[in-house]
Amino acid sequence: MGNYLFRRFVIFIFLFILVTVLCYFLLRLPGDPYKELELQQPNMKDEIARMREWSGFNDNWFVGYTKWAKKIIFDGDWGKSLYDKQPVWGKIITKIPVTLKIQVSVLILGLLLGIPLGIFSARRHYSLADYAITVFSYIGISVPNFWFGLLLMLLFSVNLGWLPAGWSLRPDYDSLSWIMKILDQARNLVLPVFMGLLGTIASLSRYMRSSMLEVIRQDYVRTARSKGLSETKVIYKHALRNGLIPIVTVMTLVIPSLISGSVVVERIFNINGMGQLLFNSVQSSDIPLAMGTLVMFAFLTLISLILGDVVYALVDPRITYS
Amino acid sequence: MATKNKKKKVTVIDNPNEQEVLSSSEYSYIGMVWSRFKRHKLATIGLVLLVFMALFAILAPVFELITGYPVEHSSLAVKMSPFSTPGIVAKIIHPDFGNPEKPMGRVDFWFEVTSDNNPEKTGFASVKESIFKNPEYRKFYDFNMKAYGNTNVLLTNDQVVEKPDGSAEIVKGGYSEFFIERARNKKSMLSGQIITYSPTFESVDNSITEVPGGYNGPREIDISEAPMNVFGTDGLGHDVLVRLSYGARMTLMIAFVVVILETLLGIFLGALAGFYGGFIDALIMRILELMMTVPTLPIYMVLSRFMGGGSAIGIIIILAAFGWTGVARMTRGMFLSLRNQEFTEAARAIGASPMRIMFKHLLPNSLAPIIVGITFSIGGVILTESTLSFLGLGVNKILTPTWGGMLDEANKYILDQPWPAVFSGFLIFLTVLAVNFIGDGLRDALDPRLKV
Amino acid sequence: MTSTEVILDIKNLKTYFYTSDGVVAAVDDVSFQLHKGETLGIVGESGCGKSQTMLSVMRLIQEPPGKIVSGEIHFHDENLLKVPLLKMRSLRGAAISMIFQEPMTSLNPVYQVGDQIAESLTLHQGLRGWDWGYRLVSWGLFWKWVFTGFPRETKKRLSRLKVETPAWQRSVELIRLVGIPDPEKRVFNFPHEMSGGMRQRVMIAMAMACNPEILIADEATTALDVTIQAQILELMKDLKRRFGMATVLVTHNLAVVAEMADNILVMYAGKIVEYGTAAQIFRQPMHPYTWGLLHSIPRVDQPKTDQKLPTIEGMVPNPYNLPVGCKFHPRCFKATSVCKEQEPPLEKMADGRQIRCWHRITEGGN
Ligand SMILES: Nc1ncnc2c1ncn2[C@@H]1O[C@H](COP(=O)(O)OP(=O)(O)OP(=O)(O)O)[C@@H](O)[C@H]1O
Ligand code: SF4
Ligand SMILES: [Mg+2]
Repeated sequence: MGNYLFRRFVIFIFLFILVTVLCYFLLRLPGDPYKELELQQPNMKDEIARMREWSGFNDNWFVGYTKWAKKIIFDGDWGKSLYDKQPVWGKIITKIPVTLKIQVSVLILGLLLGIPLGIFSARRHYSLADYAITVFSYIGISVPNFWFGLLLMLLFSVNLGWLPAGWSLRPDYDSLSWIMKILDQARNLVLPVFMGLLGTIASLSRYMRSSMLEVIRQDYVRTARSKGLSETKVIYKHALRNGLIPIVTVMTLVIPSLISGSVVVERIFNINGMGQLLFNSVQSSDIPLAMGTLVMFAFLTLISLILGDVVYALVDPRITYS
Repeated sequence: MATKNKKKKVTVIDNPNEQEVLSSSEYSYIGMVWSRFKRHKLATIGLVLLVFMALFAILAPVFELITGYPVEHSSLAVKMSPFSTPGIVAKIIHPDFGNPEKPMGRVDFWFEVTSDNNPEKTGFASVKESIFKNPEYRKFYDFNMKAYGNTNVLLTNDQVVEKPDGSAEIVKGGYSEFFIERARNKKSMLSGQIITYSPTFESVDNSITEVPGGYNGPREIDISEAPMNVFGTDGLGHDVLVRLSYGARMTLMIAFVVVILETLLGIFLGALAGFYGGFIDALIMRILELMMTVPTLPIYMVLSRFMGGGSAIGIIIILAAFGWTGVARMTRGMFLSLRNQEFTEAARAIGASPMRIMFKHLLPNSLAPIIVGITFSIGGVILTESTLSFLGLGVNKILTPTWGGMLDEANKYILDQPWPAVFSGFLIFLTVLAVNFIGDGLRDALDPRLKV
Repeated sequence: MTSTEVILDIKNLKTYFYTSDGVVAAVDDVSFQLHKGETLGIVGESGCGKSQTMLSVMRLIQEPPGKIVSGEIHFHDENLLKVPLLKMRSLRGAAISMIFQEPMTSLNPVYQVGDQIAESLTLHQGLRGWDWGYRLVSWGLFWKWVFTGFPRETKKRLSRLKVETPAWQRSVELIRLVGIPDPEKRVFNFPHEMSGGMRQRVMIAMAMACNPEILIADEATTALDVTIQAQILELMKDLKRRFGMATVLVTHNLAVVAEMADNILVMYAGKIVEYGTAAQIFRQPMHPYTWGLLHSIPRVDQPKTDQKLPTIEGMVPNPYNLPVGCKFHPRCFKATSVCKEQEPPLEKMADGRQIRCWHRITEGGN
């Protein structure tokens, strides 16, 4: 298995490099932003040339990429934002916590709620509860999450005034005890997490349901019953372990979707996290910053893919690592 | 026709999974799928909903006619609630208002404008007729004299300025959204009615009680009977209903074109990979893996900037270029499992060409799951497109309404007037829901093993 | 050989499937008795309801779409269809066990076969297995492996620990009993590491684990080669001798029935068409369908002829749309107009035979 993982790892590194190249190439596609400036302000030619030099737009994309990569690999230098000239790494580091808080909560709560819901629904196949859960999950995957977020905000922060509409910690946050700090954070997390949660629960429960339904019909579940095992054992020992196998694959697809989720969530609730950073930097062609965030996200995706592979190999003995 | 049906039946029998179905029923395969589909409650609801949406999109010009608000029409009656009419009483005083010998002759129409809510406040608006003849202008602020000229007029920034010598002059202004912003700031919505705040109105504001130049009695034309805005108006004074139905056109069109393109691409590449295996398979699978690994949203962002101008074609290309992976995986899987079965061997044995085997023998047999997958992907495409539009990366939202774009626009004033946001999001939701329900029904209808 | 004590008494069993395309009467008014130590062979074409009958006895009908509509199944003096589920569970695998038809899919792919055999031993005989301890230890070993990296060593230790538990010890014995070579290693195999025949034998081992009173073998030996088949049949006979186990053999293989069965039940389209002792049925089949079945097998003891083997014409009837009258009439060579209109009743003869036919084949003629 070690060998197998190593080979997967090499492939992933290769993929990772390819992704960064692709991203860099795409970011450079819109062309040189200084050209226009040059036309508008012909007398500032020197100034503009200096700026272009500094921001790396005088190289073609490939040279630019290698320079960028070299600096990271050899100096650990992620470059500076083209706009405020702040170091990219520092910016990313400060933005990561809030994004992680939201997305990890979404993921964990999604798993904790979605999977049992799916199992429940599959066990009560054809019952009213199953029908209700199915309809709910279809609604959940069909709701545009940005709209859902807006509705949540309208209801809970505008009309009812229970929860903050954006990320607003209490003014005296720093002087609070740790438990109050957590509560205050939680208060701010509720709406953004809830917004991401609906779709995640819905899709996970749907996958889990269909996977369990598939498994429950299998002959080996009947065999388990024919041994006289209790229903709990049949479901949770024999069926669940098999039913979870496809979910592992699904999980590796859920994680990339959380990335786009973070862009939307943070825009709606005006949260200053990685999603906003990514959106703004890409929109403004702030290449070092955009590359930094993109690499972060791609890295997370790849890690999740690797983890998916490992877990897959652990739960399914039929996988051979040759 | 008859032979064609027969052929289909034969190919279906080739698939061992369907054999049971055929022997247990006398209908044709399609007929049976349909009868199963009909029995699926959710799917029926979905189909009805989708038909409704399609009608809504197709009938957009009819809505324009019925409501009387062309899609480009934009008025000062912004952010109105559903079922309200622009409550402005405007009277044409006289086309040749003022002294014909005065420079005021530049002005073709004068309006005296009163708000329903505040009848004492009266103002004048003026506008040159020629402006309305300018097609560029009309594109945004169409002028329909008969029905709702008043509100258009108010959009102009023409001002009546009193001169020291007692004469009045018209100072022409631009036609920017600036005034709409100002109107917005006044918190102009009271009980769902709009009070007009025209710049003219404000600057004049009761200061001109008597218009110089010999006002020889109004020839009043009451044009206060503006038609109802059934779903209210948005922040630019567009009628929301009409815009929604044009948005349906765009959104549905994009979704279907994208899905068709990605299906063709996906089936082709998936078929190649699954049929030939080996190097081609490995290559396509690596590309596919790469496509699934890259965070797509940032790439959409970059590409949509590159495609520029927010054209629908750009969005379609972007979405299709990244959307084929699902279909390709599915096709590949089916082909892999089918290519070693007897009927493929048989086709090969009689010397059929690879292309023929692929698309005549293998494809029809793998069609069922592909169709289901495609159906579900329609919903996905609609959601992605709306998300892009919502992020301001989609089709140009002023010129071409899409649901996502409208939602983005409505988001700006959602606290004042939530309805446009609620409606457009709801339509996205309903459409995606309908498509997903249909997908569910199709899956059950096409795959009888799951029905059990 | 057969005692008179009835241990299984099925009365008017009806099991229907309610699908969206119609109702299938998979088991339609089936009654028979099984005595202690008896071997009953059930034969019939594919889809005639053999498996569903036996699954009904186990109460393992897939529901929905299936449902046991009516009837009684008496095991000793309890109606299995009425007993609480808890009681039913304690009988399944212990007093009545079943070997399923599909060896390739009837074992859970994610558990070692030893695990799966030990499971029922732990459940019904209280033998200590390696459940929680196994998990704890394996986690410990897993982390040790992560940090030190001796996968082979850990695997060995894990296996040793496991196989020392009583339930696993017995599993090894059972696997040896059904003739799988090298049982000490094979217990640790996952199902996908075994051949179809081996898996079938594991299934048999699992079913025999708790010395059941009734063993239902649904095509148990079909996937096996002839020597193994003979071994397994021998094993069944042995158990029958030792414990008085009653066996229900569901099979297409008339040779097996001929060798093993005391009584034979012939089913067609969900109904019993003929019942009798093996000797009666093989010597003189009275129902045209049974006659066809028996004559469609080649016989070694008769000289080869150029004649084609007689076969039963026509197709298995569509379960959604059964013919009226006798279900067999479209294919029956003795069919008359009465067969097309009226369904014959299941008639009981003096010697215990039961036949459902208007024109039974009498001695000598056809
Ligand atoms: N889940 C189900 N849904 C609908 N009909 C079913 C289902 N399971 C079984 N049947 C029907 O029940 C009838 C009897 O099936 P059964 O499995 O008992 O046949 P069998 O005699 O065991 O055949 P074989 O020799 O092939 O095993 C068949 O006609 C089949 O169509
Ligand atoms: S009743 Fe008639 S059709 Fe049925 S088996 Fe007897 S002879 Fe044949
Ligand atoms: Mg069977």
